[in-house]
Amino acid sequence: MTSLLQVRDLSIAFGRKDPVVRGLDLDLAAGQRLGIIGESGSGKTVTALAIMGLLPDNARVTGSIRLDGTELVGLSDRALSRVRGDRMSMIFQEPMTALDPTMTAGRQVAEAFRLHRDRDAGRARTAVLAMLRAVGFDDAERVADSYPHQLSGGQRQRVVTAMALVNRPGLVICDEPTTALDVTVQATVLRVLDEVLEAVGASCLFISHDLAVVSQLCSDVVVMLNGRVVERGTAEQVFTDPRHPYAAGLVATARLDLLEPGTRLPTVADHVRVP
Amino acid sequence: MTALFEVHGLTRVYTTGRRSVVALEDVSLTVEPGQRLGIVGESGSGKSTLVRLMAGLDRPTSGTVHFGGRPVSGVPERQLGFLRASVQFVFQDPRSSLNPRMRVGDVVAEPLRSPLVRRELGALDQRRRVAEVLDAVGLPADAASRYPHEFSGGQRQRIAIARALAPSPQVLIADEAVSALDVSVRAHVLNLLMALVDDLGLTLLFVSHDLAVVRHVCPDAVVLQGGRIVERGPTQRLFTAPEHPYTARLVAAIPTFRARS
Amino acid sequence: MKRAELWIGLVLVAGVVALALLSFVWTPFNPTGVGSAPRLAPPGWPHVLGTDHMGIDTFSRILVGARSALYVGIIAVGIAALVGVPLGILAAWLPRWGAEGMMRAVDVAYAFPALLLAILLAGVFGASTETAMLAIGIATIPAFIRVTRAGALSVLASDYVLAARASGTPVPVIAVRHVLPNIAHLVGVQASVSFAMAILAEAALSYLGLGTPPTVPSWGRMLGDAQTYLFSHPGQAVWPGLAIAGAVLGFNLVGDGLRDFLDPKLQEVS
Repeated sequence: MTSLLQVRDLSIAFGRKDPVVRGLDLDLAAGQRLGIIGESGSGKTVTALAIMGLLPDNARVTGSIRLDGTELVGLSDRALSRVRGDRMSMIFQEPMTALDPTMTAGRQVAEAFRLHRDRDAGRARTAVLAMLRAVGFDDAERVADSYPHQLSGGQRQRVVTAMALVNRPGLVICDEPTTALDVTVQATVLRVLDEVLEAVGASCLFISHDLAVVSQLCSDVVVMLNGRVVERGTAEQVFTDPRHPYAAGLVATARLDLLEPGTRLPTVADHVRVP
Repeated sequence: MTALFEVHGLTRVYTTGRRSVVALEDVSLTVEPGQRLGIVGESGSGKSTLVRLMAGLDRPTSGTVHFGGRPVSGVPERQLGFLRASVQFVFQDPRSSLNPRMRVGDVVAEPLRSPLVRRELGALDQRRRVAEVLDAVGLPADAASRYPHEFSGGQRQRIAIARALAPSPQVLIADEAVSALDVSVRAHVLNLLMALVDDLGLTLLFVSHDLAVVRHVCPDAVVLQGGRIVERGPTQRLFTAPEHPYTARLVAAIPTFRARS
Repeated sequence: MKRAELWIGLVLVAGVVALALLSFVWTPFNPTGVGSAPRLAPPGWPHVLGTDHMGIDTFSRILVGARSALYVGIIAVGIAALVGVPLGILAAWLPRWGAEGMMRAVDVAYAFPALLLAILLAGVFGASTETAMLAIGIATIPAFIRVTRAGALSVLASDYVLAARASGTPVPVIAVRHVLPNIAHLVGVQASVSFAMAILAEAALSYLGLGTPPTVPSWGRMLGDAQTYLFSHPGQAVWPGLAIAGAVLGFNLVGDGLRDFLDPKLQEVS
């Protein structure tokens, strides 16, 4: 199995503070979907931003991040911006701030396409409409000509998804893409994401604190705690037979569906003393 | 046994400029003493509006709220002492629900300092009461002299619970009280909340968008959509045999564990 | 970078305060009396900054002028804050229609030129330092109302205010316990910026003869006096000009620096 994304001994620190990610290794094969589970402060978002090269200037990144053999650590912002949006893209948590309120949805999706693929406006429009249909908009033309405020939260997140996938990148990083959405909307967005990742054949790094959501989308899982990976395996193995006590606690505490209502919830502290 | 809360035909319309939005429409419900009632809905369902009206923090456009047989809606604030001491809130985001510039001891003591509550409770040793409730939520006594930002998210939510418990209320309204917390922290706070409700014999109104959590905490629930109650009943039944299509959609949308390969 | 600006501002402000304090206990020469010194002397010894057209020591006048500038600033900003902050909180608390009306009134007041108000007041009460302070103070009230209202609105929307209301905490207590401490930094920034504007306004009014009377040293009046000799003795305008610029810059930098330093949103970014 060849690696599309290979992360080796990645450490990230801000300013003179202690590192927030330490000695992280990740491997992602083409088409594979890896869930990164962790609680706030575990370093999962910082890891995603490091791969995208979107960390602020005061971040110190050491180690290696290879995408399709290209080393990304130490690459200039110019060189990185040619990779970003083309070979890899990202879907953020908040769909409202990820879209420019002054531009139509279609134009924003087209920007990504014209920047990396084809300057021609007509061909861009065709690609945009096809992509909007792929993320479940039957009325793609109307959505393309709508401004973000005219769309609902779930529709916006699907537009963001279209933006991320219009160039058929090899890697899509999703950072809590459905956390800000209502449950019923979340279900739709997850289904769309699943379908369109499949159709494009993209690999996915899916960051979430919600284990059930990860289980719906990912074949493999890593669990992060305080900047380190404490557990890795297939989703089935991690969710049914976690080895690390913290992972075991996290899984137990998330499985509300296995509990008798009204009973005491299992906590991570039942399994391990978390510092 | 008489109902604790009686809500009848409650409607709230917000008017901004020429547009008006119906946040709540013709909602009626009763809450029995000691009941744990889940109020379930997505954003814009009117669930927060409903509990704010029940707590007399907002005026209904029409309809009535009675607490312990006494009217709440349309009554001047100074006559709401009976309600202020008896109904307390725990909010979603402990960062916004604790004044960052007040010491924890002052935060927790605030309800005790309210003239309305003091009239109801009579003479009370505030410092002792603060120490008692901090202990009840599992925080050290020296927490009182520190500031909220020195605590983690879960601990801050405990502080908010301590504040709510301080005036020995009958009713606790938890408005998305665990939604902003990490799963492991959520488990701790839920356990604490359920234990306190049991021990103190509290009535709990548990507002949440998360049906799975509501099922665990509340035997009964109402489902709100677009400002209306679309279904009510035992939570277990809402899960297994939902009658309204929206409830069915809500149940189906709960992410479940699924093995993929 | 921003830290440096704040420090430069603080040093400038401290310098003005030091000059003013020094003037109470010591000035090299009598800052008001016409002396036997030569008129319009260039900087040298014993008149380090020279003398003006009446033979008064310029350095002494600069020292005492700092006192006038601070005096005007403190009183004017004090008037503006004492009136503006409570009105701003009130505007945030009022129901929609009330707040709308009040803010429209504020807009009108904002648009009314401060200078015109000063001329008006000077016409009624006669030109004096007090009239100038009153005019500047009144003209600054709308700025405080706006800043306070904006800050108070966000505090009033917070859950801790809702929790306080759920316990029946009276409105005035909420204003003092919750709103004031959480908008103090905004008011502080506004005060610093308004202070700079007040000093500038006082200088302008005195220059026009609508502020501080001729007998009391004031930077603005010194500038006005120097104007007559601008071509023959340009050095005369330099010193009060520098003093005004330094003080105004200092208070502005402090205001800007505080804004960034105290903004909790900017602090949380690691």
